[in-house]
Amino acid sequence: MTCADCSKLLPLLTSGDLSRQQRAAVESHLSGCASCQGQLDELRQTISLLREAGRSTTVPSDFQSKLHARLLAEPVPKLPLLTRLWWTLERLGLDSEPRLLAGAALAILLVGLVLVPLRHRGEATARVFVPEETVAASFRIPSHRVAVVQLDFVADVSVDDVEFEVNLPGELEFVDAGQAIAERHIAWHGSLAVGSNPVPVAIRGARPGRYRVTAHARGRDVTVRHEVLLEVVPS
Amino acid sequence: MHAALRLPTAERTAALASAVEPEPRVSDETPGGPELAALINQAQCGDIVAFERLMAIHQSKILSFARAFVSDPELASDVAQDAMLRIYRSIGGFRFQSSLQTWMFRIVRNIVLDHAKSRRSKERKREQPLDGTPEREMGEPAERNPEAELLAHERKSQLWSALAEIPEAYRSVLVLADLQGMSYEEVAAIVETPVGTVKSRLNRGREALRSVLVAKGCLGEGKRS
Repeated sequence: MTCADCSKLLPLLTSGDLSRQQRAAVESHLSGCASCQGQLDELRQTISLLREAGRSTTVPSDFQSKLHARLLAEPVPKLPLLTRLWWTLERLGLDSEPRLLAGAALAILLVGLVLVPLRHRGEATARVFVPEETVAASFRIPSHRVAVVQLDFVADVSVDDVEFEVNLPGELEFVDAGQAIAERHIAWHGSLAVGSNPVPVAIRGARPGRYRVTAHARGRDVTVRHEVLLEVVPS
Repeated sequence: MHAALRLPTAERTAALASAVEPEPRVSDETPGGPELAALINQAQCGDIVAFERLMAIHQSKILSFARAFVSDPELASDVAQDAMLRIYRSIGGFRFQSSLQTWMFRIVRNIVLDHAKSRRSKERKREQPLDGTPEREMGEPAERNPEAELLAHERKSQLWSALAEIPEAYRSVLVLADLQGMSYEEVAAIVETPVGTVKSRLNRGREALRSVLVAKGCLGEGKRS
């Protein structure tokens, strides 16, 4: 084994990622090569320095008071309506696998509102996705009944700083804690994890007709729009 | 190439024992379980005290991550707080689908890297010479300066300076895995790459950092710990 070969394998030796044969060959070379042994010592010192720095990180004495002052100056974050709905559904035992509640005037609609494939375009580091505009699903619900539509934002990469938005036409209304609310537009800030990001939305319609529910996810270089068709029928 | 080097667990463990004593890697947090979940829920409702308790658990890691990318310690402290404020604004969207630490560090990494990119040219001008007077560490009172502390500060100062020369992809992994002791899996989730890539970057990063430290005269017989 040459010094160049040994040098390439030293980091793998420190992380324990060498095969038994490779380790034996490296150790044999090290026993007769002061230069490579010195390099291994330096590598170990480097790792020790990092670990030591991690253990001895000091926090400025005024760090917490400054953070506190900045937090006080922040507006109280408005808990997204959908998070409240999420919690409500959790309390109802609906969590991530909604099921029909017997006897309840509650219809559960699962909508695979898939926001993927979010296709990459351009450079590998740039997140540029092709917007998709499709009708993901259509459903019929009896008028005056509450439908819980689970919007599942599915992503193939995680994306931070995403602005979500769901819009209803005037004939539909969001339902929160059993009560209809006036807003037809809800928006919240969050992130997309890799895979499924389910969000339940409770919706009710009084007047029969076909309506479009639109959902947007906008992030840096990300714009995705989808629609769900809801048909309200006489109950 | 890396896959070909994978070994059965027992063999790898034996290899580790002969190499560098591994630090315990932590992926869980204190407090844990229901207590942590309750704290998160309170923070999601805008409870500043609960949020500050969460930040107290993670603040040294967030600070050291910022410090690895921002050469001015006071500025690094501000950037760490910017990241915490972003976490505060976004925590309502956390849905327990990953650990809080993983979720938070994705935000921290984005904020810190965005800041580092936007100030890169300015930062270069501000970087202090390696062999000059050791910089004062974040939050350390200037009057506390016994010799041992001075040496420790000097070493740490040299390390931060050397880290600044390591490419971002390697530096993130070095800081999260070696400096903060996170598990390979957690680092992979934060930097959004496979575990094999994390290990590969860690090895290359360690070698790159060693080279920089050697070039700066920071390693050697007289400096070995």
